[in-house]
Amino acid sequence: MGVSMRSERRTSLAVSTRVKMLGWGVGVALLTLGLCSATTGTARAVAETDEKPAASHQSDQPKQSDQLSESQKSSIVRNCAAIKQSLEQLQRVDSKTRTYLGTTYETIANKFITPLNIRLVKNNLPTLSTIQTDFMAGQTNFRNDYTTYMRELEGLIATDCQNNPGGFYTQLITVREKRAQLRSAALELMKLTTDQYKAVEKLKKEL
Amino acid sequence: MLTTRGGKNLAILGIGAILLASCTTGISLLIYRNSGDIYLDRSRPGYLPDEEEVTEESDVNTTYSFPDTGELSADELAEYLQELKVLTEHLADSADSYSPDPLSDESLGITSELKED
Repeated sequence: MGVSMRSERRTSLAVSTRVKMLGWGVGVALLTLGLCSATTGTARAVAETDEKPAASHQSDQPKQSDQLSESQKSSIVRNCAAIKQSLEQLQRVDSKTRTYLGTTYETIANKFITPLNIRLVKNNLPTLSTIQTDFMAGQTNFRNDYTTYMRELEGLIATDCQNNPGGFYTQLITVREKRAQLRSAALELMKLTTDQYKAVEKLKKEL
Repeated sequence: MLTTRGGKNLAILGIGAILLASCTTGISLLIYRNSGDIYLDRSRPGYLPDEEEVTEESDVNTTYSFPDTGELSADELAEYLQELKVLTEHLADSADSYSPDPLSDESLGITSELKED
Protein backbone atom coordinates (compact mmCIF):
# COMPACT_ATOMS: atom_id res chain seq x y z
CA MET A 1 0.00 0.00 0.00
CA GLY A 2 2.76 2.39 1.13
CA VAL A 3 4.90 1.41 -1.82
CA SER A 4 2.11 2.10 -4.31
CA MET A 5 1.46 5.55 -2.72
CA ARG A 6 5.16 6.39 -2.98
CA SER A 7 5.30 5.28 -6.61
CA GLU A 8 2.13 7.33 -7.35
CA ARG A 9 3.73 10.38 -5.71
CA ARG A 10 6.91 9.83 -7.79
CA THR A 11 4.84 9.53 -10.96
CA SER A 12 2.90 12.71 -10.18
CA LEU A 13 6.19 14.52 -9.37
CA ALA A 14 7.68 13.33 -12.65
CA VAL A 15 4.60 14.50 -14.55
CA SER A 16 4.62 17.91 -12.87
CA THR A 17 8.36 18.30 -13.60
CA ARG A 18 7.73 17.44 -17.26
CA VAL A 19 4.85 19.91 -17.42
CA LYS A 20 7.03 22.59 -15.83
CA MET A 21 9.87 21.88 -18.29
CA LEU A 22 7.46 21.96 -21.20
CA GLY A 23 6.02 25.21 -19.88
CA TRP A 24 9.50 26.73 -19.68
CA GLY A 25 10.30 25.53 -23.17
CA VAL A 26 7.10 26.96 -24.62
CA GLY A 27 7.63 30.16 -22.62
CA VAL A 28 11.16 30.65 -23.97
CA ALA A 29 10.02 29.87 -27.51
CA LEU A 30 7.11 32.33 -27.27
CA LEU A 31 9.36 35.00 -25.78
CA THR A 32 11.93 34.62 -28.55
CA LEU A 33 9.23 34.57 -31.20
CA GLY A 34 7.69 37.70 -29.66
CA LEU A 35 11.08 39.40 -29.66
CA CYS A 36 11.61 38.40 -33.26
CA SER A 37 8.26 39.70 -34.44
CA ALA A 38 8.69 42.92 -32.45
CA THR A 39 12.10 43.51 -34.02
CA THR A 40 10.81 42.67 -37.46
CA GLY A 41 7.96 45.10 -36.91
CA THR A 42 10.33 47.85 -35.81
CA ALA A 43 12.65 47.10 -38.71
CA ARG A 44 9.75 47.23 -41.11
CA ALA A 45 8.62 50.53 -39.59
CA VAL A 46 12.16 51.91 -39.93
CA ALA A 47 12.37 50.69 -43.50
CA GLU A 48 8.98 52.24 -44.26
CA THR A 49 10.08 55.54 -42.71
CA ASP A 50 13.25 55.43 -44.80
CA GLU A 51 11.29 54.65 -47.89
CA LYS A 52 8.74 57.41 -47.40
CA PRO A 53 10.66 60.03 -49.37
CA ALA A 54 11.27 57.51 -52.12
CA ALA A 55 7.59 56.63 -52.08
CA SER A 56 6.64 60.29 -52.34
CA HIS A 57 9.00 60.54 -55.30
CA GLN A 58 7.39 57.47 -56.74
CA SER A 59 4.01 59.16 -56.67
CA ASP A 60 5.43 61.45 -59.34
CA GLN A 61 7.27 58.64 -61.05
CA PRO A 62 4.43 56.82 -62.80
CA LYS A 63 4.21 59.78 -65.18
CA GLN A 64 7.82 59.17 -66.16
CA SER A 65 7.41 55.41 -66.37
CA ASP A 66 4.17 55.95 -68.32
CA GLN A 67 6.27 57.86 -70.82
CA LEU A 68 8.33 54.75 -71.26
CA SER A 69 7.92 53.84 -74.89
CA GLU A 70 7.25 50.35 -76.11
CA SER A 71 10.73 50.18 -77.60
CA GLN A 72 12.23 51.13 -74.22
CA LYS A 73 10.13 48.51 -72.45
CA SER A 74 11.12 45.86 -74.94
CA SER A 75 14.79 46.84 -74.70
CA ILE A 76 14.60 46.52 -70.90
CA VAL A 77 13.04 43.06 -71.24
CA ARG A 78 15.49 42.04 -73.96
CA ASN A 79 18.62 43.28 -72.14
CA CYS A 80 17.38 42.40 -68.65
CA ALA A 81 20.24 40.02 -67.82
CA ALA A 82 22.90 42.40 -69.20
CA ILE A 83 21.40 45.37 -67.32
CA LYS A 84 21.40 43.42 -64.06
CA GLN A 85 25.00 42.37 -64.62
CA SER A 86 26.02 46.00 -65.24
CA LEU A 87 24.20 47.09 -62.08
CA GLU A 88 25.88 44.39 -59.98
CA GLN A 89 29.26 45.45 -61.34
CA LEU A 90 28.43 49.08 -60.60
CA GLN A 91 27.47 48.10 -57.04
CA ARG A 92 30.93 46.57 -56.51
CA VAL A 93 32.77 49.53 -58.06
CA ASP A 94 30.73 52.00 -55.97
CA SER A 95 31.53 50.03 -52.84
CA LYS A 96 35.26 50.24 -53.60
CA THR A 97 34.99 53.96 -54.32
CA ARG A 98 33.19 54.56 -51.05
CA THR A 99 35.97 52.82 -49.11
CA TYR A 100 38.58 54.87 -50.95
CA LEU A 101 36.78 58.18 -50.44
CA GLY A 102 35.78 57.34 -46.86
CA THR A 103 39.41 56.58 -45.94
CA THR A 104 40.59 59.82 -47.53
CA TYR A 105 37.94 61.88 -45.70
CA GLU A 106 38.89 60.24 -42.39
CA THR A 107 42.56 61.02 -43.02
CA ILE A 108 41.81 64.66 -43.87
CA ALA A 109 39.60 65.11 -40.80
CA ASN A 110 41.81 63.32 -38.26
CA LYS A 111 45.31 64.15 -39.50
CA PHE A 112 44.83 67.61 -40.98
CA ILE A 113 41.72 69.58 -40.00
CA THR A 114 41.34 68.64 -36.31
CA PRO A 115 45.04 68.83 -35.26
CA LEU A 116 45.44 72.21 -36.98
CA ASN A 117 42.45 73.66 -35.13
CA ILE A 118 43.78 72.34 -31.80
CA ARG A 119 47.13 73.94 -32.60
CA LEU A 120 45.47 77.23 -33.49
CA VAL A 121 43.56 77.24 -30.19
CA LYS A 122 46.76 76.54 -28.26
CA ASN A 123 48.49 79.41 -30.11
CA ASN A 124 45.57 81.78 -29.46
CA LEU A 125 44.91 82.17 -33.18
CA PRO A 126 41.50 82.24 -34.92
CA THR A 127 40.43 78.68 -35.76
CA LEU A 128 38.94 77.19 -38.92
CA SER A 129 36.14 75.62 -36.93
CA THR A 130 33.42 76.29 -39.52
CA ILE A 131 35.21 74.13 -42.07
CA GLN A 132 35.74 71.43 -39.44
CA THR A 133 32.04 71.40 -38.45
CA ASP A 134 30.91 71.40 -42.08
CA PHE A 135 33.37 68.64 -42.94
CA MET A 136 32.10 66.41 -40.10
CA ALA A 137 28.49 67.04 -41.18
CA GLY A 138 29.50 66.35 -44.78
CA GLN A 139 31.01 63.01 -43.79
CA THR A 140 27.78 62.02 -42.05
CA ASN A 141 25.73 63.09 -45.09
CA PHE A 142 28.02 61.14 -47.40
CA ARG A 143 27.67 58.00 -45.26
CA ASN A 144 23.87 58.32 -45.06
CA ASP A 145 23.49 59.13 -48.76
CA TYR A 146 25.65 56.17 -49.66
CA THR A 147 23.57 53.80 -47.51
CA THR A 148 20.30 55.11 -49.00
CA TYR A 149 21.68 54.87 -52.53
CA MET A 150 22.94 51.33 -52.01
CA ARG A 151 19.60 50.26 -50.53
CA GLU A 152 17.76 51.62 -53.56
CA LEU A 153 20.28 50.08 -55.96
CA GLU A 154 19.82 46.72 -54.27
CA GLY A 155 16.07 47.19 -54.65
CA LEU A 156 16.58 47.92 -58.34
CA ILE A 157 18.64 44.77 -58.83
CA ALA A 158 15.94 42.78 -57.05
CA THR A 159 13.17 44.22 -59.29
CA ASP A 160 11.98 41.84 -61.97
CA CYS A 161 12.85 43.67 -65.20
CA GLN A 162 11.64 40.77 -67.31
CA ASN A 163 8.01 40.93 -66.14
CA ASN A 164 7.83 44.46 -64.77
CA PRO A 165 9.87 46.84 -66.98
CA GLY A 166 7.74 49.85 -65.92
CA GLY A 167 8.40 49.25 -62.22
CA PHE A 168 12.05 48.64 -62.97
CA TYR A 169 12.36 51.97 -64.79
CA THR A 170 10.57 53.80 -61.96
CA GLN A 171 13.04 52.32 -59.48
CA LEU A 172 15.90 53.24 -61.82
CA ILE A 173 14.80 56.88 -61.72
CA THR A 174 14.80 56.76 -57.88
CA VAL A 175 18.30 55.26 -57.90
CA ARG A 176 19.48 58.03 -60.22
CA GLU A 177 18.16 60.64 -57.77
CA LYS A 178 19.91 58.97 -54.83
CA ARG A 179 23.13 58.75 -56.83
CA ALA A 180 22.88 62.45 -57.63
CA GLN A 181 22.52 63.20 -53.89
CA LEU A 182 25.56 61.05 -53.13
CA ARG A 183 27.54 62.81 -55.83
CA SER A 184 26.67 66.24 -54.44
CA ALA A 185 27.74 65.06 -50.93
CA ALA A 186 31.11 63.93 -52.34
CA LEU A 187 31.54 67.19 -54.26
CA GLU A 188 30.70 69.18 -51.12
CA LEU A 189 33.47 67.40 -49.20
CA MET A 190 35.84 68.04 -52.09
CA LYS A 191 34.95 71.75 -51.96
CA LEU A 192 35.52 71.85 -48.18
CA THR A 193 38.95 70.27 -48.61
CA THR A 194 39.84 72.94 -51.16
CA ASP A 195 38.50 75.62 -48.77
CA GLN A 196 40.73 74.24 -46.01
CA TYR A 197 43.72 74.34 -48.35
CA LYS A 198 43.02 77.97 -49.29
CA ALA A 199 42.44 78.99 -45.66
CA VAL A 200 45.77 77.46 -44.57
CA GLU A 201 47.52 79.13 -47.49
CA LYS A 202 46.12 82.47 -46.31
CA LEU A 203 47.14 81.70 -42.72
CA LYS A 204 50.67 80.89 -43.86
CA LYS A 205 50.95 84.25 -45.58
CA GLU A 206 49.75 86.03 -42.44
CA LEU A 207 52.34 84.36 -40.18
CA MET B 1 12.29 6.06 -16.49
CA LEU B 2 14.99 8.52 -15.37
CA THR B 3 16.90 8.06 -18.64
CA THR B 4 13.77 8.76 -20.72
CA ARG B 5 12.91 11.92 -18.73
CA GLY B 6 16.52 13.11 -18.99
CA GLY B 7 16.44 12.47 -22.73
CA LYS B 8 13.27 14.53 -23.16
CA ASN B 9 14.65 17.35 -21.07
CA LEU B 10 17.81 17.30 -23.12
CA ALA B 11 15.76 17.44 -26.30
CA ILE B 12 13.76 20.40 -24.95
CA LEU B 13 16.98 22.14 -23.95
CA GLY B 14 18.47 21.49 -27.39
CA ILE B 15 15.40 22.78 -29.25
CA GLY B 16 15.19 25.80 -26.96
CA ALA B 17 18.86 26.59 -27.51
CA ILE B 18 18.48 26.28 -31.29
CA LEU B 19 15.39 28.51 -31.26
CA LEU B 20 17.10 31.11 -29.12
CA ALA B 21 20.28 31.06 -31.24
CA SER B 22 18.29 31.32 -34.49
CA CYS B 23 16.29 34.23 -33.16
CA THR B 24 19.25 36.20 -31.81
CA THR B 25 21.14 35.59 -35.08
CA GLY B 26 18.09 36.76 -37.02
CA ILE B 27 17.83 39.89 -34.89
CA SER B 28 21.55 40.62 -35.38
CA LEU B 29 21.24 40.24 -39.15
CA LEU B 30 18.17 42.51 -39.21
CA ILE B 31 20.03 45.21 -37.28
CA TYR B 32 23.09 44.72 -39.53
CA ARG B 33 20.92 45.20 -42.60
CA ASN B 34 18.61 47.98 -41.41
CA SER B 35 21.40 50.08 -39.92
CA GLY B 36 23.05 50.12 -43.36
CA ASP B 37 26.27 48.56 -42.06
CA ILE B 38 25.87 45.80 -44.63
CA TYR B 39 26.55 48.33 -47.38
CA LEU B 40 29.71 49.59 -45.70
CA ASP B 41 31.08 46.11 -45.06
CA ARG B 42 33.82 45.17 -47.53
CA SER B 43 34.42 41.76 -45.93
CA ARG B 44 31.35 40.32 -47.68
CA PRO B 45 32.00 37.78 -50.43
CA GLY B 46 32.38 39.57 -53.77
CA TYR B 47 33.29 42.85 -52.08
CA LEU B 48 36.71 41.95 -50.71
CA PRO B 49 39.43 44.44 -51.74
CA ASP B 50 41.83 43.12 -54.36
CA GLU B 51 45.61 43.49 -54.27
CA GLU B 52 45.78 46.58 -56.51
CA GLU B 53 43.24 48.30 -54.33
CA VAL B 54 45.26 47.63 -51.17
CA THR B 55 48.29 49.33 -52.81
CA GLU B 56 46.12 52.30 -53.85
CA GLU B 57 44.74 52.62 -50.32
CA SER B 58 48.20 52.55 -48.77
CA ASP B 59 49.12 55.40 -51.13
CA VAL B 60 46.24 57.46 -49.76
CA ASN B 61 46.89 56.59 -46.13
CA THR B 62 49.66 59.06 -45.53
CA THR B 63 51.79 58.61 -42.44
CA TYR B 64 51.88 62.38 -42.04
CA SER B 65 49.95 63.83 -39.15
CA PHE B 66 50.01 67.49 -38.26
CA PRO B 67 51.33 67.86 -34.66
CA ASP B 68 48.79 69.55 -32.39
CA THR B 69 51.36 71.11 -30.04
CA GLY B 70 54.10 73.71 -30.30
CA GLU B 71 54.61 77.11 -31.86
CA LEU B 72 53.03 77.48 -35.31
CA SER B 73 55.52 78.27 -38.08
CA ALA B 74 55.25 78.99 -41.82
CA ASP B 75 57.55 76.03 -42.61
CA GLU B 76 55.22 73.64 -40.83
CA LEU B 77 52.25 75.04 -42.70
CA ALA B 78 54.15 74.66 -45.97
CA GLU B 79 54.65 70.96 -45.21
CA TYR B 80 51.00 70.72 -44.19
CA LEU B 81 49.93 72.23 -47.52
CA GLN B 82 52.20 69.93 -49.47
CA GLU B 83 50.74 66.83 -47.80
CA LEU B 84 47.17 68.11 -48.07
CA LYS B 85 47.68 68.86 -51.76
CA VAL B 86 48.40 65.18 -52.43
CA LEU B 87 45.09 64.18 -50.88
CA THR B 88 43.22 67.00 -52.60
CA GLU B 89 44.57 65.78 -55.94
CA HIS B 90 43.49 62.22 -55.12
CA LEU B 91 40.01 63.53 -54.33
CA ALA B 92 39.91 65.63 -57.50
CA ASP B 93 40.79 62.54 -59.55
CA SER B 94 37.85 60.64 -58.11
CA ALA B 95 35.54 63.64 -57.69
CA ASP B 96 33.12 62.39 -60.29
CA SER B 97 33.10 58.76 -59.19
CA TYR B 98 29.37 58.93 -58.68
CA SER B 99 28.59 60.54 -62.01
CA PRO B 100 25.17 59.79 -63.52
CA ASP B 101 26.70 58.17 -66.64
CA PRO B 102 26.71 54.51 -65.55
CA LEU B 103 22.96 54.68 -64.87
CA SER B 104 22.02 56.47 -68.06
CA ASP B 105 19.70 54.82 -70.57
CA GLU B 106 22.53 54.63 -73.10
CA SER B 107 24.94 52.91 -70.67
CA LEU B 108 22.33 50.37 -69.64
CA GLY B 109 21.30 49.71 -73.23
CA ILE B 110 17.77 51.11 -72.90
CA THR B 111 16.65 52.58 -76.23
CA SER B 112 15.85 56.23 -75.58
CA GLU B 113 12.91 56.73 -77.87
CA LEU B 114 10.33 58.59 -75.78
CA LYS B 115 6.61 58.54 -76.54
CA GLU B 116 5.51 61.43 -78.65
CA ASP B 117 3.02 63.49 -76.66
